[in-house]
Amino acid sequence: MNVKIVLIPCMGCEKNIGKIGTLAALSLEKSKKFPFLRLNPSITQIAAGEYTSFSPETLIIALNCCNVRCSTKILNQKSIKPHYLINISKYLKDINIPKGDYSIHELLKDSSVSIITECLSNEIEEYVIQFTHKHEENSVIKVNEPSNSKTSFTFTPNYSKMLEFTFSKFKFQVPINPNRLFFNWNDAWAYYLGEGKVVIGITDYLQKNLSDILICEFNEIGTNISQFEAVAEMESSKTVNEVLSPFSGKIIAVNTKLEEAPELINEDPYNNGWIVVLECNNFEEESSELMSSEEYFNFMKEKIEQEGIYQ
Amino acid sequence: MINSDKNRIPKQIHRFMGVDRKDIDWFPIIDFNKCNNCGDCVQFCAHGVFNMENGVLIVQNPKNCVVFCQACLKMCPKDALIFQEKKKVLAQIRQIKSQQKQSIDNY
Repeated sequence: MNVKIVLIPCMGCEKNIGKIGTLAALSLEKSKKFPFLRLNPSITQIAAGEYTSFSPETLIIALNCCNVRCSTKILNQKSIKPHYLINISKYLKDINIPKGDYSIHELLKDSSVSIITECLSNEIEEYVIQFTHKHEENSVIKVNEPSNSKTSFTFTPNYSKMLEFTFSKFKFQVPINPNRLFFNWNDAWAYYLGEGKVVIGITDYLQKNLSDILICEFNEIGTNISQFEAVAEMESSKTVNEVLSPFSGKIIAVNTKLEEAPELINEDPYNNGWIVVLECNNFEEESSELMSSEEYFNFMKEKIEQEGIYQ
Repeated sequence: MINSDKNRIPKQIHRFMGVDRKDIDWFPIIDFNKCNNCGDCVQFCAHGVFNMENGVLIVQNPKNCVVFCQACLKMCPKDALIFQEKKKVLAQIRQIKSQQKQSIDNY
């Protein structure tokens, strides 16, 4: 298959990292390693129609350099859904970015440009392989479903019923399981699996407020999380949001299906849209600080009635 | 009632972990060495925490800030917002809770 790539960098000049990201994208184009079709964000605004008429072999990548996510927003303005989002701020843990006011020409000489270019090149290369495989899998008749060890955990919660609240056109649901389901004040739920393990996700209220979720990035398996620290970060067409953990503990599984289909969180927030599994440090004590389904439902109902809905 | 009016300051009535929101020290502080008063956070925060006063950013409604939310920090182009450490604030909330419990027990 002949993949073509449309890479949309943010072209940000606000921060050094924005300039460096743009330089890395241009340097990647110069290397001719990938078949780039477009590399200019303004084209999305001028000729948006072109983007919807690309062949299925065209891979649209949004390259964000910081959490302002200009690139995602530019594409979103024209309802263009990228296949893949890259945020190079994740590489910054190990790279020193120059501080202070530097022009794009001065930064060109900085070693961080070549390092970021390499990281970017590797990430795009990896995704192109995935993208190609996906297309090939779709084009042949599958004999056996490939097994994926990462997604071996299957979440089958038991909810006795759903509480439902309607306010104007806004409707939100909260499932009930008196012994297993807990909620925090930041719209995350935790479902107790037994043996100190919980599944974590976000509530129907939060997914509706976020609107279409475009990407869900987890902390890695094995990461230790404090209570109310982020287990994952989500980008939606409207905003960025962290999933704040109701419990402290270690991440032992992540829902890798969300990498391909983050919309599962919107479609089914309490089942298939689960986000991570946590091995709790202190389940008994921390669960006593959280809300039950009814408490969360009443809390949200009162909040919405008093404050309205943010849109 | 759909709250899309940015000028309307939402009234935050709720409690957090059983503690009155007013007693919890969670809100952003502006680092004026970095802030360029672009006003992105004023537009971004749906809870009316920020405002502009004579072209300068201010934290107008600190107690409207959602406890442990740092979304504005994520989107600030200049990384100019500072929050307290979460564990310190959590310790504060737990301390208030235990004081409340004690005063109920004493009563």
